[in-house]
Amino acid sequence: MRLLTPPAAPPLVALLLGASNAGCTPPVPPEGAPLLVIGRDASGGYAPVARTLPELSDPIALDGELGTGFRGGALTPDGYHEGGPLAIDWALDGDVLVPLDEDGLVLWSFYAHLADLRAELEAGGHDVAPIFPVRIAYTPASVLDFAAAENAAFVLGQRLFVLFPDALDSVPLAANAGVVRHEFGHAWFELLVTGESGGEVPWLDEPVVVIQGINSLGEGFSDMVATLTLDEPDFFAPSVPQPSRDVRSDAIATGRYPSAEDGPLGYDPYALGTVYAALLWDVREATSPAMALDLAVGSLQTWGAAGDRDPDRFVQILVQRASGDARTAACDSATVRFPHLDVPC
Amino acid sequence: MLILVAAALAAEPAPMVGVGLDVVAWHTSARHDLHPALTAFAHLGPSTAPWSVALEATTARRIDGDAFVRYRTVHLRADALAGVALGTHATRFHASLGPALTVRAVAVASDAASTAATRLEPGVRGRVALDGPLVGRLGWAWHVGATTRGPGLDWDAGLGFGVRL
Amino acid sequence: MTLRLPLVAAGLLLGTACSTLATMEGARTLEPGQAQVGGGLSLQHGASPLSYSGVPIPQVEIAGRVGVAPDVDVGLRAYLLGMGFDTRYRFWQGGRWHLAVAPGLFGAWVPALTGTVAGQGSVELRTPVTAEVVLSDAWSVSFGPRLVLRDQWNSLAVAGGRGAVSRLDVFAGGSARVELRARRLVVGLSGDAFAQPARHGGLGWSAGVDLGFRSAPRSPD
Repeated sequence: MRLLTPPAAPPLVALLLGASNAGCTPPVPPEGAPLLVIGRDASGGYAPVARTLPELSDPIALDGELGTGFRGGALTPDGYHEGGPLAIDWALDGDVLVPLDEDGLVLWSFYAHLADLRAELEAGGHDVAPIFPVRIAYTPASVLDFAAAENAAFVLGQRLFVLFPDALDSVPLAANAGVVRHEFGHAWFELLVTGESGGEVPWLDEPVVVIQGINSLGEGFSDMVATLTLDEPDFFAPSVPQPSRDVRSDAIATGRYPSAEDGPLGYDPYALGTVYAALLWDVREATSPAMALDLAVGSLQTWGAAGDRDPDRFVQILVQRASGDARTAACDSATVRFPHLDVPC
Repeated sequence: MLILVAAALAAEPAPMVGVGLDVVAWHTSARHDLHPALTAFAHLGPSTAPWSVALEATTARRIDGDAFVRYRTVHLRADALAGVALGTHATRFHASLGPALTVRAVAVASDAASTAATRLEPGVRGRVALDGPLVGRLGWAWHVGATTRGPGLDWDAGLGFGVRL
Repeated sequence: MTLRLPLVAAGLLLGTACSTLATMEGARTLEPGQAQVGGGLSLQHGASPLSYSGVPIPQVEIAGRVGVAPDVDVGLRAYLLGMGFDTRYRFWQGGRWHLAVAPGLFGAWVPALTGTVAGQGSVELRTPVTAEVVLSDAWSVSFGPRLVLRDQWNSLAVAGGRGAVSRLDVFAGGSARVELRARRLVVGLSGDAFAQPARHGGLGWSAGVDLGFRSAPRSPD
């Protein structure tokens, strides 16, 4: 990763000479112009690339068929109170639109990764249309202000992504394809389990311990979406090394379940979530990423349709639905990772 | 400190020119980015009149980005403000409004695309300020202001020192 | 990461850096050497991230002021969570009318909170401009524009490095206060309302009461 030195400041005389990109901002960028984003290549590396994004009809306001971006706003129990319009500043390099600040770069990159995922899922036969259009809020005011930095989130029941600015000198989390897919995984989880997107989230009325268990499954499914669609077991690494989230781990579920002693804020859902995701990675190793994802999606749908609140039932359903090499792998993995569970092998 | 206050109280209001250090919240595509800036200012007008004129020139440089794309932005803003100026002593309170012009030069460097852009951004600036004597002909000034620029507002505050004319 | 608003809102009170939107004084400065101590209680929305949990947040403050020169006094103020100082300058007086400005600097800092957050804090610049009209020996009414510029930051410490992100909150609005003076006792009822133009956070407001005890002036008021 080459360290870029800051560019020299452009001479202000460019304004006087009437050079291109000088003067007042042109009101409308060229239609269909490629955008500079932080893209991910097939080998898993990140680099700035110019690409077209037909889904983004208005790159300045970040508005298109996937959804719309907002500047700020307020996130309350009543929902998201939309903020002001975005105004992504840009200039042309040849025919490429270049964002003139990092916030614009992160927003365009996020939209691009979301567009790629939607296209891949639809090509794979998964109907995610009910999730769109979404709203994308950039640093809204919320109770999370105390810890909001370098992150991305999805709000259940709102069809809302929340992005926070880049703080580290690596791939911004909101521009990390895996993180975008993980957050989308929450939206997909809601759709598969409840049958709708942006509606009531029934388990939020359950006791805290039940909610935390479902949270773990939700985090696990989101990691499944990220790891299996990218075929990347450690998607966080380009942004923030998190070895504990690597789904190639030997993690088992014992000791990772929520308990009443945890209280509402003392439980880490990612620990158990990683075990669920690792199970599906084991299935992927024996079959293929697409097969593993299909199995996860179908099992989650069955789990949700049953109105179940026990996340481990997802494991049992998955083993029951699997066949051939997938079943063998699922059985072997579940027996080890969930030793307390009656796995129907 | 009390000696300075006493000296200040004994002085008369006077126009001032000086320089100061500001913190400016420049609006970006999606939020505000805080950076220090340097300002040269002149507070003009009859010291006994309830009005004043202020001239300001502010410059700032920002370097931003990540491992892939680097941004260097230079701001240069000039404004001319007029408003009320009141004071029960030599220290005067100013509330002013006037036109502002920001010239913003951005250079972007990445492996995929590099470009530079210069933007001329007219706007309106509003400001409240205090200025007063310090020691001898030295004086101080403080301000808080907001300036429209394109679709957003920049906010700033600063403290400066100067020479009383 | 998903958001569970009711769960997240619980228990964050001690972990947030906050501001206060309440007004606790008018435009009439203390006489040189005169002092005032007191406190205030208010209900607020918008100054604290907890406001976005859906309930107004109570705020408790203690404050002290001392006159340092004619038409100039300085104050210290502490609240949940933060503190700061300001200097009030009465820049005009005519008859029953007094005009003052009280620029102040306030802030708070909380060390490492949870997970990767290495610390968070805020610094704010407050610029109230106040007009006060004295109705009688006992009563006065004050009002005026208020501007609070607050920069709040979160520092990160993760395996990939360290960093910080800050965000600007702007509270731009106005205040109105009724004051009753009875000998050395000062009681105020105030209301403040703010727009939040920087992050479009909605309406911020405060409704409060303050109580102060002031020493005798060295000269007739």
